[in-house]
Amino acid sequence: MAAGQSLKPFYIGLGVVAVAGVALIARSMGGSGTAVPAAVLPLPIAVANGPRGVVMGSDSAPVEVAEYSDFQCPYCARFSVLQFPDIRDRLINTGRVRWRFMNFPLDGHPNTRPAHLAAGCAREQGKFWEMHDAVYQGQGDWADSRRPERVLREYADHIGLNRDQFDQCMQTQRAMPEIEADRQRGDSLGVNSTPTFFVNGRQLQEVPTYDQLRAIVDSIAPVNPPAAPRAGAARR
Amino acid sequence: MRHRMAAAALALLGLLLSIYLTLFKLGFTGPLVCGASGDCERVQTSRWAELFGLPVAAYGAGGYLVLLVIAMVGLSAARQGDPSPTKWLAVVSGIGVAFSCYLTALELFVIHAICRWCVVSAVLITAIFAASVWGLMKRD
Repeated sequence: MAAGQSLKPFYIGLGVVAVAGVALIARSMGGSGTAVPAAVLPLPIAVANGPRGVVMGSDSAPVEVAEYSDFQCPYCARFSVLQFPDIRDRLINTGRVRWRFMNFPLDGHPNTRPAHLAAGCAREQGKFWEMHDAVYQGQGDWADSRRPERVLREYADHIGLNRDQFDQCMQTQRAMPEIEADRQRGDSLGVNSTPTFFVNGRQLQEVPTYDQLRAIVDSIAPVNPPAAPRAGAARR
Repeated sequence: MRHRMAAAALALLGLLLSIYLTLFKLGFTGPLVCGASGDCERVQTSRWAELFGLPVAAYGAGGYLVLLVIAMVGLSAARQGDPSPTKWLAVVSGIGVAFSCYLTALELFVIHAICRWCVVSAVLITAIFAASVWGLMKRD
């Protein structure tokens, strides 16, 4: 093929595609973006922070996120598996966010209470978050099981819980009052679906991605000057 | 030279697509125009959508830009008889195909969601690779 003139239509076509593509991209940038959902700004006085739940992160973190979650809820599992690791690494472990997990077992989920109990019993041994992760990652294994306790017991072994103590805790259901207290707290706030999030007391209207949550945190507590990094999150 | 023209056109499409996905990941665009299933967002907001602190799509944009430059250089009058641009197209797009396979496997077996734009990108990079190999074999 001869160079120069014969390629001119090709170059023109390429240029047209480039211009059209850039125009489409520029148009998509005119939207609201993944930045800050308007519903959460400006921030009001905290109303949802309660003393219960299970907390991860620094007491001095400028932002508290309360998550009302059901272990058998697939959307909760999706959030936990896909978004929470980034949130934990980049927002909680850096001291910017304190996370409060609130048990909110829904009545329509028959296996969720054993799962919440298992997490409560793991909490007794200082391993709530390990059980939290195991339960969400393995949701498909126990959610429809006739004997979810068997699967949950395997998780207990896997994360290194004292088996006798765990079994006794599950049988006596002694973690249930804490779970019910969280549930009642959620009811009083009007929580009716999971997961539901409160950022410094203000309810989010949607399940945030990591990027959206980071944008919200940035809007509340800008990283300028940089927050002092913490060696690790306090796990309670 | 037809394979270089094809590679240039496909690389340009891939570049535009990767820029779009990168801008989404960085929060500069609205929701992805990618069907209503939510799978695109699920993939693009997953932890695997970043690599060494940069959006994976940004690496794609870099790769497509390199391919576009190689193809355009190969189309210049001085390089039309030179087979080396085609070899470089095959090498770079081959790396891209391998990376696309890895990402597609993540979507299928780890994230359990398929991002249509990622599939389009995988098809584009595979087509560039095929065009390059065809160019090498046919000495087009």
